Amino acid sequence: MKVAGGSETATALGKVIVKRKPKTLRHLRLVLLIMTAAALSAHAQATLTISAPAALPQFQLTSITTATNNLVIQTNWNFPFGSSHWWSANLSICVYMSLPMTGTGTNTDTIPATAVQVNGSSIVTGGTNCGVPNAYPVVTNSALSFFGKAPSGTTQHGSRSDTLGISISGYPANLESDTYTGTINLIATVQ
Amino acid sequence: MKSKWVVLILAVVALSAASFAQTATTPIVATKAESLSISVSSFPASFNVMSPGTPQTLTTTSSWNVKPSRTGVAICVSLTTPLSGTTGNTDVIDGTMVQAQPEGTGPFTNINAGTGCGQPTATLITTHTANTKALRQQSNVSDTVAIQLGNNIPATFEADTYTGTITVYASAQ
Repeated sequence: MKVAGGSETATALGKVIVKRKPKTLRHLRLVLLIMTAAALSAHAQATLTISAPAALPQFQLTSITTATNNLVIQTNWNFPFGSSHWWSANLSICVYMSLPMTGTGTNTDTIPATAVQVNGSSIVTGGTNCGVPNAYPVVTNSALSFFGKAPSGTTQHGSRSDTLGISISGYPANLESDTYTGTINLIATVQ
Repeated sequence: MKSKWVVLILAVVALSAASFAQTATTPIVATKAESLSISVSSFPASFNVMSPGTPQTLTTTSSWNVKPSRTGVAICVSLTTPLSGTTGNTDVIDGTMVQAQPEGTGPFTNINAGTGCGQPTATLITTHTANTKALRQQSNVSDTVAIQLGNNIPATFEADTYTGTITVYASAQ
């Protein structure tokens, strides 16, 4: 006679005694099985998005340190059960500029990325954040979820909005009159 | 027992997901506005109607900071308000009776005969080239124009003091 989850032993009297494994052990196996199945499942996809829903207002270069304009960054995530990060997810968000702001036509003047400030500090940090050299850290390793223990205010499915005060400071005083355009890169990483 | 550990290791490996990232971009735009100014820095502004053809020099002072797409800055002058006498005097010295000579060279022409600086009646004094950064950013640039009354003012004009307005222009081209 066989019993699922147990083993059998024959006695001298021909009586079969079934030894069931302890419940905790069976539960552990079950959990491991579920975890494995979930982890290997291709159905649950983790999603992570980052965007700037509204365009940054245009800066007027009327003073060496311009007025501050707000940049709102929206980050959304969904780490459903069985997806790559449902067990644990640490979110980091960064902004960075790889190139200076450039003018039009034959204008060779530029506004260096170092002149762009985030909350009063240069966007060019000199350090590596979010895996990007010189990126400015907005959020660093924020714990979103843990198996069996959800940090307060966070879930496996959620979003956050971060507002950055952007200004331009220290650009050349004799900069030519022109419109200068650059790109701020946004990056969200999960580990 | 070994199989349990294999399962456990598989699970841990499967759950140790690699980090991943998402990116986006947003533009940042800044504008340095053009600036342009002009003033009359010197002009005696008193003529003897009985002595036409006696020029006096008007000096303008200009400053500008214009876009790289500009090719130059034009300086112009016009008589925007004819010279009129005092109360009861209907005689008027208009633009056909006031002459200008840009930068003190060349012939005198009626001050309102041209279309400089995009104005319908203005004499072009000069155009400053702006093909380098230094030339696009200039301060206190002086230009002169000689102004005189023409000899076509009727001798029958009443004896009086005649007052009008000369306007100077700076225009980025």
